[in-house]
Amino acid sequence: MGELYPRLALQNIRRGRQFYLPYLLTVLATCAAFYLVLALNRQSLWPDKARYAYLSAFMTIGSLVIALFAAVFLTYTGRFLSKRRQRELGLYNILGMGKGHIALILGYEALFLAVAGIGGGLLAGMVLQGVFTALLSALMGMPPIFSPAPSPAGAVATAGLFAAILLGNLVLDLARLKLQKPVELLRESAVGEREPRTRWLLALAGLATLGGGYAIAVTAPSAADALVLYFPAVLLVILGTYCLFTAGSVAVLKLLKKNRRFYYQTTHFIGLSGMLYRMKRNAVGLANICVLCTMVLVMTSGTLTLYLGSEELIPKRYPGEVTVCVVYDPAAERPLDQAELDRRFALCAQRWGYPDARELDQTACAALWLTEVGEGVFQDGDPAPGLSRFYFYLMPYETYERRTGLPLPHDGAAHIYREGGWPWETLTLDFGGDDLACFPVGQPLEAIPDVISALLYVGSNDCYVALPEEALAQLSQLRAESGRGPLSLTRSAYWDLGGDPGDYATVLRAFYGENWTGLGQYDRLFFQDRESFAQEYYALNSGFFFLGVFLGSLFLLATALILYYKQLVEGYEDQARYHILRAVGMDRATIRRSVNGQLLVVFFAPLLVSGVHLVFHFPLVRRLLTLFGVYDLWLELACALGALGLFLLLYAGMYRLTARAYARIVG
Amino acid sequence: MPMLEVQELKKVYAPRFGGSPVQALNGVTFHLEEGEFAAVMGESGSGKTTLLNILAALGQPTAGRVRLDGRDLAQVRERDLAAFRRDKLGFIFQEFNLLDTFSLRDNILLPLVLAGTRVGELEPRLQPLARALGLEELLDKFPYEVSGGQKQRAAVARALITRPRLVLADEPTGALDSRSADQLLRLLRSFNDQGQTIVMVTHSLQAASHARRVLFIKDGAIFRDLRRGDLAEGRFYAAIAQVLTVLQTGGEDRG
Repeated sequence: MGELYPRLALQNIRRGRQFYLPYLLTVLATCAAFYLVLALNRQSLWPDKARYAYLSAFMTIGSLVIALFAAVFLTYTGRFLSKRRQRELGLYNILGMGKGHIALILGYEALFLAVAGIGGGLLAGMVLQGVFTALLSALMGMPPIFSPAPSPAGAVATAGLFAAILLGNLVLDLARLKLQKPVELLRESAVGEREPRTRWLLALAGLATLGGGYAIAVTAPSAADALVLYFPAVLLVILGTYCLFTAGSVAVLKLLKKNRRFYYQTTHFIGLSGMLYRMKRNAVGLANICVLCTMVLVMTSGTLTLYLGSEELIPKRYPGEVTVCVVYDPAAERPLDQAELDRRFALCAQRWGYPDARELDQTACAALWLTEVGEGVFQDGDPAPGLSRFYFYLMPYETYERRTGLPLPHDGAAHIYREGGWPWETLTLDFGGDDLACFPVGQPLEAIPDVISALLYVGSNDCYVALPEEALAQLSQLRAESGRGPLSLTRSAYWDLGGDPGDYATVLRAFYGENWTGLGQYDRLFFQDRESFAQEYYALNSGFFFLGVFLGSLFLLATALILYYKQLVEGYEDQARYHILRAVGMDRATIRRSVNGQLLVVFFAPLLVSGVHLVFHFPLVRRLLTLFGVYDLWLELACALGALGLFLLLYAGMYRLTARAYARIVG
Repeated sequence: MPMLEVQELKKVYAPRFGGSPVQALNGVTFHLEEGEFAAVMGESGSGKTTLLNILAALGQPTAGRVRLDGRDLAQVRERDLAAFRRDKLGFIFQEFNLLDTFSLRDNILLPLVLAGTRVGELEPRLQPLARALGLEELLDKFPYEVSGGQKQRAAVARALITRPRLVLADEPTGALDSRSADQLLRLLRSFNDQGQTIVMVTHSLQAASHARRVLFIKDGAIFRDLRRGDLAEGRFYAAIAQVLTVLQTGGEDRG
């Protein structure tokens, strides 16, 4: 007798494998994913602390997203599975099995599923861990790391989380069981859903939210705005998607139904009424699928663009293998002797074994936060509320000409680039002293010069100003006199040393030990090497890319599962219907056509809408990508289309699998 | 020429996993003229449903022949079968078998739509039937919104709308209360009076007594073929009851 319940539980699982197998696979996959992210997040795995920081942040985000996703999604599918079984449980009850016994069976089922799912997931995670570590290290441009050692802490955390989720599911099931009366359990859920009304208000709300989201996406004026407005826009679009699918689909179907000539055609007749019949449930399902599809596409295409686009940024920000930066006051009494610095650096390089070191280029730039206080008047100081602040990059004409290759008139005017143009005739800088600096404004700059060597910067409210070199010294003096201190001009000289870039980080540290006095007055001298920057940058972007693809795959799995379950359930509901249809004279070919028509709509309506979402998302993400220095339209297009293509391929595969399962049931 | 000829029909079900084969029909022969209303009676397992399935071309006989208007059902090609059923036969089921996704109107129109009938022709075909069956007010309701009797009347309309040669009814009153059953049988009878040929499988004495002829099946063969002729309804009822008694007590009466 004691063995009866485990045996019954196993039998149930085996009999319902069409439902339990996908569920088990989901538990397994999310479990493996969670473990992998935890295992990859181990500090001991990665050598370099700086790089590790990005990775750790990404993996932490990843683990949170997966945990949340697992909790929501597994609860959703679990509820779906138990709903389907109400009849069977009712039958047990009526056949004389007490609720305690049913609970025991449910408990054993949950136990078996949990052991198989979590055990299998951990096993899969440990097997894949080596591959993923090697992959990730290769993506980051490091020598591949093979780490066969499993993470016990990760395994424990994973097992704990998933056991808790599955236990929660079981508790929900048991609570529901306790509340139900056996006769109700037995009663079929065949009571028809009332034909839904067209809800114009909801449709209108959907249009408004969707339109709002799209409008933000298209009109966000700058990268910074895009960053701030990104999540509100996404939220609006998601809301709009749900509203429109719920209200819009009913409206469209009803309109089609009203058209008698369309409706009373063999293939439309069956499909249309079927869809209208379960539209409410259908709509939410379709919206879920649409949102998940969009998320997958956005994540993978965006992170792919970022990963591939990062190549381009590096030579822009770091024209030479090594950058020698010196920060100084251009109005100092004994100003920096630039030629002497170059000579001394070349000598130093020679001493350290780089006789071929040569300087490629140099730039100078001073950056200031300024507040707009009047027409073309900008004030240095604490911003007053309600006034906009601008980040000014002040540079000599020569720097602009060198970095862009475009000539400028050396006429003493300020040549300015500002998003949206410069509407005033003068530029006035107010440092709070008695005197103001005023420049006539010349021609707008045609290109943005690359003068910033930061990893990531927010390029909104940026003004690039090219001035005569002497003007910078005058400004510095003016600022010093007004008590705000002199201007800090950064001069960057780009060098190629002609050695192995891998050594530069060490060599440059040694350079600091040299004698750098007797060069005139300066604040700070420092060296940067491109290789370190590149590695850090790759670590950031490949972490991003990895996470995007990883989560994208997980969401794709969820999409597949939702679609599959949806069609499976509808298949069982439609089984009797198609049986009747055959009895009243519908032949198999027509049935197949009608089924295919319905399936095509279910699969491709959400995809079509996500396609539209993607189109509107494109300008928004383009602006966001400029934050990371990616401007390449063709690359962005290619990545978006590539991700879409791959997705379509997988989606078509899912369609075939699902269609086959459905046809088997109703056929 | 009789409209329906059933000759030496045999059906053997071979069990899938060993065991001895089951003889469901063992040489059934009868003819049906146009305009007849025949009830098929017999105990559970006597082969009634098997017979009806074969008449409906939903099952193949092991031996023997069924001809409708001289056309052998076995000769109808597989891919024409659906169209054949749709055009020649009308079905009424015990469980109504209405589609809950359709309003009654669309349920009734279903066979016409499947046959690709022009939209303009749909309503003119529907209206007189709906009037005759008292469904005019209910056409836009869904099956779960109406009573069992109303559902079965809609099913009758669906069976008749293609103007079939033969209506096959499988226990049409089985799921109805006696009042609805009576109403339905009167309706079937009045359609029969207008010339509709009907074969009805039933358990119910009351139902059978509305037919003009009752075929009793026992152990897969025709046991008795009773015609109403000029008998009054009460007498016919009594005659059926008598045969049933013989049938159930296992008598060897072969009249």
